[in-house]
Amino acid sequence: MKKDYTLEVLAENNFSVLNRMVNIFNRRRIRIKSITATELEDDYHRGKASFQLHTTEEMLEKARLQLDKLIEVERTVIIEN
Amino acid sequence: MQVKDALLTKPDTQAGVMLTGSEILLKSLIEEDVTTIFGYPGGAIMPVYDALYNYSETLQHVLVRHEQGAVHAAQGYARVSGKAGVAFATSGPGATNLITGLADAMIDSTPIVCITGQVASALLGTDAFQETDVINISLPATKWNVQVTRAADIPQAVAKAFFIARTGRPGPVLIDITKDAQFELAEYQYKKCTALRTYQPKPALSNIAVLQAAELINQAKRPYILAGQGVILAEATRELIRFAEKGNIPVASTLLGLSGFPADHPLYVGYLGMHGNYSPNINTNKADVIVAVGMRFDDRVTGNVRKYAPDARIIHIDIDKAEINKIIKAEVAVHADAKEALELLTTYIGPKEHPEWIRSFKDLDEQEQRIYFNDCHPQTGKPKMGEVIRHLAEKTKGEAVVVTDVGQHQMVTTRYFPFKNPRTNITSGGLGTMGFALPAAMGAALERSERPVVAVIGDGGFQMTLQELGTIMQYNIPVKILILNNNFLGMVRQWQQLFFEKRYSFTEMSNPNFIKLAEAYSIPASKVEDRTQLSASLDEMLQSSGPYLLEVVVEKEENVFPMVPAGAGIGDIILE
Repeated sequence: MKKDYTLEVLAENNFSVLNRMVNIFNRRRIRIKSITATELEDDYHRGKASFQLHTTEEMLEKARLQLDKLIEVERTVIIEN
Repeated sequence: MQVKDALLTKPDTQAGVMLTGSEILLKSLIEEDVTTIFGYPGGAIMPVYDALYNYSETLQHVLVRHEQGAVHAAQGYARVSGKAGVAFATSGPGATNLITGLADAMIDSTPIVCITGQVASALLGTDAFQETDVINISLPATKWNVQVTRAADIPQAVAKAFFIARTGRPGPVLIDITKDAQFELAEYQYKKCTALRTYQPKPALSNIAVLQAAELINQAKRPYILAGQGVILAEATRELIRFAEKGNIPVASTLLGLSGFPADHPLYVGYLGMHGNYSPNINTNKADVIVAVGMRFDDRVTGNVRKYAPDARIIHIDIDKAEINKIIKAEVAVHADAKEALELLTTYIGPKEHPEWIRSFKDLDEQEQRIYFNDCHPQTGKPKMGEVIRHLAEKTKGEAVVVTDVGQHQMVTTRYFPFKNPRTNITSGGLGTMGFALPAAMGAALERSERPVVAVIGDGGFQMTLQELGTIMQYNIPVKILILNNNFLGMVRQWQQLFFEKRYSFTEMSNPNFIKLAEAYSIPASKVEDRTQLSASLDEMLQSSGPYLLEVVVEKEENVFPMVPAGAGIGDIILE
């Protein structure tokens, strides 16, 4: 069953990293309800993205593993809304 | 002379040397033990090519005839050697012509590093001549990519690129370098990359997971190993043989896994998938424990997943965590390098015998014998693809590097060629790229000169990249080109016959005179239309010292069987 989830991603703040993340959702036709992405206040080399997604738990986990695989991604956390 | 000698020595890694970005790039590549580059020059990469002029004795640059040829050649080079293949291209169309090869390397886990020139950084985003956003275009087709706009950043980008391409699950990397960065002077200092803060290429092996896997295997009555390309990439052939022998477990291979376990080993039962062997497919649904090693349960292997391996408890060993549970749920997940996992697993399993289980494969094999004889020992009609491959296998004793394109000839070759040594089966698996074989064989032949490299290609695929005959001619690359010509896009025609009421919609081809074509490129060639000429012609091809093209006109409407129809379970594999 599809539900709303928040997926938080901590990553290096390089060009195209956010695009790589969004591509993972788009390719799997996962609906993105909102995106917030910021540089870390104390370290602009790193950034945090927060995605509000509407999808199934299974698909979310598959997408999370793909995000984890991205070279620049440091950590992913799923928060069930 | 002195200047030239100095340029040809190993790069100076001391600080303080000011060089152009182009020269920094070349010295960085030499640091990564690159010796061969496949490429094509153009406006935005001219400074690099100018620097290359002085490095021609250290770096062999192979001028291809199209950038797709460069990237596939780099793939072939990487697949036979395990080293990262390197391709150069200019911006715009040069860069976009690499995309098919990048996507192919991504899905088939091939380590390549592509370097593209880019317009000057001041022109980025202005729609300048030959400007394209290759970083975003190549995003989903690369393991990593980066744009470099400063010469000083080139060494780090190269070091990171090779580290990422080669480690973990290998893959393609692209570095896009703006033209001003290629001209700019910077201090040259090179440091190899051995770790990245956010990337763990080699997961720690879980002893508990391996113990759980061993427990399942020790209880199993019908255990079964499915070996994928991960075995080859991890150089785990010896470990797989020991594991299989200790547990007396039959081994089947995926398309890309072929050559990772010797085909003449008594525990080898054949090839999985849509056009694989009968017994390995049927018995997947009889196994009670499946040990999947370095494979990703591709849809061509599983057929309908709801009908796949209903009785099996699955152990999945893979270095890529995202592959585990992606398609088939694993009861035991071993997220690890295949070599390490198999080594430890072998110590935990007990010696077992499964004579009835192993015999069941042989019993099922008998049902496939008729297909084998029809394909490989026909007496009438035109030569058949299977018999050509049987002859090739006999004459090379299974020791050649065989590069295949995509289609019927690919399935026939991988069914009938007995691959014995790792890295001798080079094919486009996941992406199914027609046009792959000819350039990939060039790359393979330049790297593995001790074995014959035979490119088996259909008449359709050959015409997708035949411009590379020019490269083969220029560098006298000893590729043996074996065209199996049925004047059809054979696999599509087979599907049209079986599933589209024989409506042969745009699959029949009028072909050029392939022999004259080869002659135009000064490549010796011959044509076989009758089986009486086949053996002698293959001998002539294999005995030739340089490149050779042999066209075999084969049966026009031959079908490849067995076959798992699309959407069916593998248990529904049909023999005719």
